Amino acid sequence: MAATMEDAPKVQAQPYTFDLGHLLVTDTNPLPTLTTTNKEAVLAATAQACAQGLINQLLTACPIIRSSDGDLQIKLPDPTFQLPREKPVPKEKEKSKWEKFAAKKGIKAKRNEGKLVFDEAKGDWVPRYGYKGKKGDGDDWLVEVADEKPEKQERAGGKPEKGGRGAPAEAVKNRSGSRSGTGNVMKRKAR
Amino acid sequence: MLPIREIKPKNARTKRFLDNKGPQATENPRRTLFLRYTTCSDILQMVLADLYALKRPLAIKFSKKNDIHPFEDPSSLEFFSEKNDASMMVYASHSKKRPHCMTIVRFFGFKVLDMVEMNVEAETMRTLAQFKNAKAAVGLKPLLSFSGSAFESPTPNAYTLAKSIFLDLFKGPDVQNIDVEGLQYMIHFSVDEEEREEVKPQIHMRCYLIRTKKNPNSTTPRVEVEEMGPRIDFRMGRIKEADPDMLKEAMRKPKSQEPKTKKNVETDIIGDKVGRIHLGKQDLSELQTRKMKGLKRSRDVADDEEAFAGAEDEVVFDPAKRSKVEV
Repeated sequence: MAATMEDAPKVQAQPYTFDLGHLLVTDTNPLPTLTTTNKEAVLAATAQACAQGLINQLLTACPIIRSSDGDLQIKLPDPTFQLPREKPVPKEKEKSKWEKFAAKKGIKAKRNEGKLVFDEAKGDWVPRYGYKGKKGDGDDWLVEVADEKPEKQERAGGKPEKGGRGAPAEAVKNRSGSRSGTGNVMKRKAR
Repeated sequence: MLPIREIKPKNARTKRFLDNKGPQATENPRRTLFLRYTTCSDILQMVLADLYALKRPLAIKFSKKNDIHPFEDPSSLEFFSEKNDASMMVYASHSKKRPHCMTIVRFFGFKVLDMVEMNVEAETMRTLAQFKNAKAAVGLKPLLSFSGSAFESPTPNAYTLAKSIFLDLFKGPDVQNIDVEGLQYMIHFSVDEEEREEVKPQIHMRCYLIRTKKNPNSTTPRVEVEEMGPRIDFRMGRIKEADPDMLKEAMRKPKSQEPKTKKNVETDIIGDKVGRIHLGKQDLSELQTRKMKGLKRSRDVADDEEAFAGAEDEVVFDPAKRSKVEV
């Protein structure tokens, strides 16, 4: 039996899916059949609908911030559609001997505090060391001579021991150099 | 082709160059290399020139002819990819069997990942120059749209691969923020519905300038599109799908990029940061009660008696000691 017009189901227009991280909109609705006359018009209309949908989504879903230059910017979310990388994931660098030791002992790296320090007495920032520094303003430049300490007298005779401890510098450098992987990086000129 | 010599950097500049070319956690955007076969039609050369203009500055164009067959032997292409640090390639050729043929190649680690071959329809092709209007500025990130059900088919097919490759080719650098004025143009890909089994539907690529007009009714603007070119229709050709192992390797994400969630720290509904401390089980028989003054005031008789008993002992001891001393 022939199906009547009422039996034909109406195809619901499917909503667009967005991936704002890539500025991408996907329209899964099937394209209407194109004839040579209406082709460009149909394509332009489809494109216009996609563009309208994407712009609306961008302006409503993403926060708009004003940048330092005074331009309006949209903060994009992370992309959802995963694309393959262009190069493999980098290998984890092996920790150097010091790094392993520091991690084991719980030694944290020294933070660079900067050159200036706030001096409570003066109420201003002064250099941590050096001229007009925090350490001493020259108030206590007059120091009385104490009795000569016995260590000082002994040292006058012999010279302090030099080197002789541990491995020579070259061997140490070669050991850590093999880890970094580069050849002659900034090798100092051989004297 | 000889493999590329491994260069050991002799100064900081070359080291920086090699580090930039090597694997990184957050990657550089893909550079595209445009090159041609010994035979290449005029139409295809115009297509190449237009795509190069769209992809600037992340693109390199070779002018020499190369005798390469990508589907048979891609080693030459891999060499070019490594030398020029280009992970995307567009290769144009023309022959009687495959007229106006354009192959897009995607690389992973300077080795071919996947390829898609398409033939350009000569009659419907229009170049950038043929549309007499102002173009979008160089280097902008385009809006991308894909229409048609073939692109979203649940099983991976030639069209899903083409979508992935087109997206990779045209998307440009990944950015966190984008200027509203930078949303200037849109590239629209549409695929016809499959009517007959043998005829593969064409992919239509159109580029439009986005013009926004103020809408009196709502806050969002009304968008108008104006075609700026190029206009290209593609007929699908052969494809080379990615090797599953290579693809799995390529889809891996570096560990550092996943957000670190601290254990035992949660944020309340109100927004307070709440932490959880886990104590071990407490053995109550080992509890030290003698040093707790508060417990002495209790009505526990046993404890008081103990205290008296201790005091008596002390009293008994002292006289004995004293008597000894006296003697």
